[in-house]
Amino acid sequence: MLSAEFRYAASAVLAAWALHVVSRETPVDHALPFVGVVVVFLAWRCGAAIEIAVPLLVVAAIALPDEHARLLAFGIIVAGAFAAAVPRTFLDATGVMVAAVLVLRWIPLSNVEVVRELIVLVGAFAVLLARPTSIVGAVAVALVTPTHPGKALLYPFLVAAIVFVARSVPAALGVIIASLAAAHFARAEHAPLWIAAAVAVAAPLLASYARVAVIALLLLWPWSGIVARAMPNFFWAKPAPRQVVGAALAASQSIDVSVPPGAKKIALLASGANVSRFKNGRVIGTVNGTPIRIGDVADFGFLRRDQFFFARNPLPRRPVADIRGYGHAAFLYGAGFVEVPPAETLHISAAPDLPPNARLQVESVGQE
Amino acid sequence: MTLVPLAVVSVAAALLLLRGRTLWRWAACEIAAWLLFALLVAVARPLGVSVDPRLAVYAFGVLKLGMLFAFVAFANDVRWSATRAAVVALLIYILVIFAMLPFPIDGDEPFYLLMTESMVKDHDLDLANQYRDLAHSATHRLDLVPQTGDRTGPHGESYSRLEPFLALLMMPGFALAGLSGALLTIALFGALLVRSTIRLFEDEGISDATARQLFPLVAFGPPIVFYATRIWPEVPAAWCFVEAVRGVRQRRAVRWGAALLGLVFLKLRFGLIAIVLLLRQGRRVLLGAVILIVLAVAFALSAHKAWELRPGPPYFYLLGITGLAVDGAAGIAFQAPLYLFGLIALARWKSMPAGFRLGMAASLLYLIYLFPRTEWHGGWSPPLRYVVVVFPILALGAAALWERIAAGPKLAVTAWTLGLVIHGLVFPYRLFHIADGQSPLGDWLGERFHADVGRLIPSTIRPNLAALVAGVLLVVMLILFRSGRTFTPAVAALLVALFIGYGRRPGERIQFEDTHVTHAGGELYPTEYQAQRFLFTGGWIVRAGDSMKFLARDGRSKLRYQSAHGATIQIASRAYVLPPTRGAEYATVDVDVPSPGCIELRCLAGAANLDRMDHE
Repeated sequence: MLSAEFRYAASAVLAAWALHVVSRETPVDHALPFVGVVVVFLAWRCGAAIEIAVPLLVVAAIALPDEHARLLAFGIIVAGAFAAAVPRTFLDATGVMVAAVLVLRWIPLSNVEVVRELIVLVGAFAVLLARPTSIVGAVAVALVTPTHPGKALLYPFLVAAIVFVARSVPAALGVIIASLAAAHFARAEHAPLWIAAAVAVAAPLLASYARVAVIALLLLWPWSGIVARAMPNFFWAKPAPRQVVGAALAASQSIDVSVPPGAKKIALLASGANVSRFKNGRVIGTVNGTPIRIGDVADFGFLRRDQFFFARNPLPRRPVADIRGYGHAAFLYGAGFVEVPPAETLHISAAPDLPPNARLQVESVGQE
Repeated sequence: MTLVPLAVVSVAAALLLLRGRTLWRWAACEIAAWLLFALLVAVARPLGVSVDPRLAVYAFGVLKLGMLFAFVAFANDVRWSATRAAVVALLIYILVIFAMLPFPIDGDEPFYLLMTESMVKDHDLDLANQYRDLAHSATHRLDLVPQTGDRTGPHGESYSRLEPFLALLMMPGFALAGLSGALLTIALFGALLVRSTIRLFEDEGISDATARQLFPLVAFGPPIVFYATRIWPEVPAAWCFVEAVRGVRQRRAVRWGAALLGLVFLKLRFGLIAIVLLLRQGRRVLLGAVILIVLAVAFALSAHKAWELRPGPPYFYLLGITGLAVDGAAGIAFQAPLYLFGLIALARWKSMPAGFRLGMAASLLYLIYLFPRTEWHGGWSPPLRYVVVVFPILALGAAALWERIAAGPKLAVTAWTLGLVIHGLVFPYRLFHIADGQSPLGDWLGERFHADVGRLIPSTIRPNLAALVAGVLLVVMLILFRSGRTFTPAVAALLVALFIGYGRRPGERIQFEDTHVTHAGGELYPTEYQAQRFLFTGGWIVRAGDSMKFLARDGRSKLRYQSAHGATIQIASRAYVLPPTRGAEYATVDVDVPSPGCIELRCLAGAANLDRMDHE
C-alpha cells in the first residue's frame, strides 16, 4: 500500500512533467509545472478532487492557442482549485496561503527579489496568524504589498496588527468602512493597500463568500500585477484604435493628424512619458483645444511594479486594454482615451511647461 | 438557452432535491457562481478574449448544474427519491430541448416526425403528401425524400420503413405543440427512464449515496441526455427494457408483458431482447405466446429480412465489439466513459446484482446480432445509438462497482462526461459524425495541430493500430481492474500530454481526406453525406492544379490511388506518374519523401482519387 505522501509526491512529479510537455512560449506557460505542483499540494492537504485541475490545465494548454484565452483558462482552473481547498488545520491554511502567494507573486521567477518576497510571505503569515480564518485576507495583503520602497514591507505587519485588534464584528465593520473611505479619497497608488486591508478584516465575516473572494483574487493570476495595481479601471479598458500615430511630443511640439470624415466622435489614445510624478488634472497637452490631462491619460509605465508606489498618476478613466508582461510584473499600459469633437484634422500639441525629458505620446486615433 | 430558464430550473431543482443547511449553502454557491460568471464576462472584454456566447452560456450552465448535483451527491440534507430525480430530469431535459431546437432534427428524426404529422393531420401513415408539402412541415427540413427501404403503395403511397409506434406515442404532444411537443414527449420518457433506473438501483440493493452520485452522470450524461431530447425510439425503449427487467425480477407479469410489447413495437430489432426475456419466463406461456405472435407478425410486415439474422464473419464481430467499446467516434470509452465501469462489471459477472445479469443476458442475442453489422456504430445518429437500450443495465453494473472505484477514475470520467455534454449542447450537429474513421476529437486535433493526432484515437470503422492496442488494453483492464487507484488525475494529465506530444509527430499512414491534411482544391470522396459512407474507401480527389500539405516521414512510401485515365503528381521536387487503374480497383506507386516534416503533394496533370500513403 502506497503512503499518501509518496502517492502525492509521485503525482506532483507527473503533473510537473505533463505540464512541462505542453508548456509554451510565455513565462506563465513556463511556470505551469510549478503551478501543477501547487495544485497537487492543495489536493494532498485540502481535498483529493482538486487534483483534477492538473489534467484540466493540460487540456487548456493544448486546446487554446490564443494566449489571453489560454491564460484566462489557467486562471479559472487554478482559482477553482484554491476555492475548493478546505484546509483542516492551521498548518494546511498556512500552506494554502503560501501556495497562493507564490502563484500570485513569484511568477515570473526571474523578476523575484527573494529576500523582499520572503518578507512579504512572513507578513502574510502574520495576517493569517492574527486571524487564522483569514486566508483570503492574507493573500490579498500579500498581493498588493509593494517591495519598493523597503519601508512598504511593513504594510502587512501593520495590517496584521489591525486584524488582530479588530476581531469583534462592530470593530471590524468600523475598520472596513474606514478603510474603504480611505481608499476612495487616497491617491490611486495607495488605494489597493486600503482595500486589501478591508478585505483582510472582512474575510472572517465573508463565510462562504470568502471563496468568491479567493477566486476573484486568483482568477487573473497570470496577470496578478493587474489585479494588484490596475483595478477597477481595468474593467473599462478598451482595445486601441487601429489608426496608429506613434508620435512623442516634447514641450510645445505639435502635430496634425487627419481623421476619416463622417466620425460622430473621435477618440484620441495618448499617454505620457516621464510624467509619473504629475498629479491628477495636470494638463500635458491639448487636442483641438481640448486639454489632455493626467487622469485622462497617465505615464505609460507608471503601473509597473517597481514604479507604481512612487508615482502620483491616477489610473486613466478610460484606459486602453493593453497588458504588458506576465504575473506580478504585468502592468496595464498607461494610455487613456480622450474624447474629441468631430473634426477633419486633429491638432495635437504638448504643453509648453512640460519638463525637458517629459513627452506627450500620441498613440492612435479612432472613431466612436 | 438563455440565462433565465437556467436560473429557474436551477432553483426549482435545488428546492426539489435539497433542504436545510445544504439548501442555504447551495444558494450561497449559486449566487457566487453567478457573480463569478459576471466577473468573467467583465474581464473577457479588456483581455480581448472572445468566446462563442453559446459555449460560454452552456459551459456555465452545465458546470453550475454539476455543482448542484455535487451537493445532491455528497451532502446530508437532501430530499431524495426516484420521482424527485425524474422531475428534475424532466426540467433539465426541457432546458436541453431549448438548446437543441435552433438546429434541424436529423437522421431518422424527421421521418418519425413526418409519420406523427401524417397521423395527426391525415390520420394515415402515407407520407407521400408530406413529402410534397415539406414547406409546411414541422420538421423544417425541405430536403427530405423517401429513405432506402421505404415501401410504396399501389397508388403512389409512401410508407416509412420505420416502426410507427414512436410516432403514435408522440401524437398528443405534437398535436399540442408541434415539434416541441414531440420532443417533450421523448423527454417525458427520459424522465420515466430516470425514475425506473433509480428504482432498479434500489431494487438491486444499490445504496442511496451511490444512486445520488450516479444519477447526474447517467441521466444527464451521454448517450441518454442526447437521446432523451431528440426524436429516437431508444430512450422509450430503454425505459421499457428497464421496466421489463424490474417486472421479471418482481414477478409482475403485467408489467414485464406490457413493457416487452412496448419494446418490440418501438423497434422490431428489440424483439431479440424480448425473446430471451420470454424464455426466462417459461411459466407465463400464454403471455409469452402472444408476444411471440406479435413479434412474428410485426417482423413479417417490416422491412427486415430473415437473412439479417445470419451470423457474420468472426472479424466483423471483433470490429463491432472493439468498436462499441473503444472507437473514438462511436465507442463507450470516448463517448460515454462512465459505462466502462459497466463493462468491467461484466467481467465480474458472479458478484453483480441479479438484475444486471438478467438484463445483460437478455441483451446478448441482440448484441450478437448487432456486432457484425456494418452499421454497428449507429450510422447517422448521435453515438451509441444501437446500445442506448442496454445502458441503464450497464449503469446498474457501474453502480454495483462504484464504491470500490478510487477517486481518480471517477474524477476523470466525470470531467470527460461534462466535456462531452458541453460539446454536445453547444454543437448538437456534431453529434452526427460521418463514419469515416475519424472522430470529432481527431478532426479537431488534426485541424488544430495540422498533424495526424487522430491516428492515436482508436477506430474500427477504419481499423487502425490504436484500436488494436486499445482493444488489448481493454481486455487487460477488464481482467486486472480492482479500484483504479493508480490512475490518478496526474497520470491522466501525463497521458494526455504524451498523447499530444507523440501525436504531433508524422505518422506511418496519411489518409488524404483527413482534417490534418491542408487541402488546396480537390474534393472529398465519397461526398460527405453519402448514405452508408462507411462502406466506401474514403479518399480525396485531386485534379491538375490541386495540392495538399501534410506531415510525413522521410524515405520510401507507398501511395494508394484510383485513377481512370492516370495522373501526374509532384511530391517535394519529384514528379510521379500514376498509371490508370481498372474500374474500382486501387493501385499503389512508390514515392520518396526527402525529409521529415510538412510536404506538399501537387497534382500536375490528370485526376486521381488519392486514398492514403503508407511509410515503408
